[in-house]
Amino acid sequence: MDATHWHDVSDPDLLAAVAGRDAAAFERLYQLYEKRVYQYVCTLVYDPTLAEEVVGDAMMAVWRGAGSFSRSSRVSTWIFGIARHKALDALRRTGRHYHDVALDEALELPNAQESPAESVNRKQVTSLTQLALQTLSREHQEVLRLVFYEELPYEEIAELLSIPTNTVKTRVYYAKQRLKHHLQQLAQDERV
Amino acid sequence: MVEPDTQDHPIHAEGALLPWYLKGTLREDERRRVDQHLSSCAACRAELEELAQLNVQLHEVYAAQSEPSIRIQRAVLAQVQREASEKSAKPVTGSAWLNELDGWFRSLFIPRWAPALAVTLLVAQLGLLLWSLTLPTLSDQVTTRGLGAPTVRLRVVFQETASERQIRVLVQGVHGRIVDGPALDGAYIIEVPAGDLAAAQKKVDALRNQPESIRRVEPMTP
Repeated sequence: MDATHWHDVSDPDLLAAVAGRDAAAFERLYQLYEKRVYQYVCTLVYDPTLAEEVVGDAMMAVWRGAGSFSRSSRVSTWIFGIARHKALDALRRTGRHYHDVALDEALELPNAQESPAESVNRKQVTSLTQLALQTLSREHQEVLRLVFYEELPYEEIAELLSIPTNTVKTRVYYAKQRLKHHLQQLAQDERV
Repeated sequence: MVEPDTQDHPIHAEGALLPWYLKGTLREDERRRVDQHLSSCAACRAELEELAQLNVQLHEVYAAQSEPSIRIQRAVLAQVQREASEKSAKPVTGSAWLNELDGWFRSLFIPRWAPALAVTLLVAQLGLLLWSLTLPTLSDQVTTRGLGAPTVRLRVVFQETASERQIRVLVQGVHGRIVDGPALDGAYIIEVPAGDLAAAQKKVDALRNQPESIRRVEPMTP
């Protein structure tokens, strides 16, 4: 049985097959998650080579530990939890730190009437958004990805990051405010 | 330093749920509450509009991000194939079966593993002996009120699937603290309060009773 057999199978069922040592099911799961896990880990470690190493470790841990998935959360939350744990371990091992960007700058709330996307075209907006994202702390980049791309409910993000649900909500709010602020500044620089 | 995440939320309680309202990941009762709030709050409607715009922009950025090299995929899938075929003892027939049996018997006489096993056993025995000789008993210890409670260091390897939260609960459960690690093999050094050998063994047993989170626990010699 090859990986194509497992198309259209739900993630929990796929993981159950992986727990039964089905290599083809794992290959399908790997195809579904490799890029997402890699990009998430890049948000945490800022190093593509180290991120690849972490992805390899994390996916092997998924293969070996699939039986311990309890179905109390989404499969994605469980896999991201493993990847996060591996990424923080890798940061510690290499002497780097997760909390390496200050979060304490005074927040200047921008003028709500002004949209940064109004004066630049879509391609420029994407590249400005990319630049603005890079100026955010790891914590802020992480929550934005988990909400807007991975579409995780706030309860699962709280579980994944081991923080209270209210902290998740405020962190996302400030991440969005800061991103908007940087986007406006970049758009302004672009116009000058 | 002020961490903004700990400050009060500057917008309405329903407004804090807007990102998940937009993504459709709220519970039904929460979604209805936000719906109701939006019908009477212009500020939150404007916020939702901004979030929708940001959602599109972020998706474009994330979709354009790089992918890992194919090398990682090949290495992981090859390792998984190896492990899967090791675990599933497939029945073989005819001469293939005889050849496998022959190969297995022959492999017994090729002691590639013997030196490694012997060295491992010797090291383990030596370690056990040193540990039992050097671990202080209660009568050996001199403590005063000015000194902290006696502690024992444990070398702990967590399961790869253990979450930060599980690890924290386990460490707090034995009143310990992580003082070093991870080592190259992933081991952490945990210091736990223990007055004598029996108390130390109790902590070790407590941790060993958590096989879903802990792979290995070994007491360290002082």
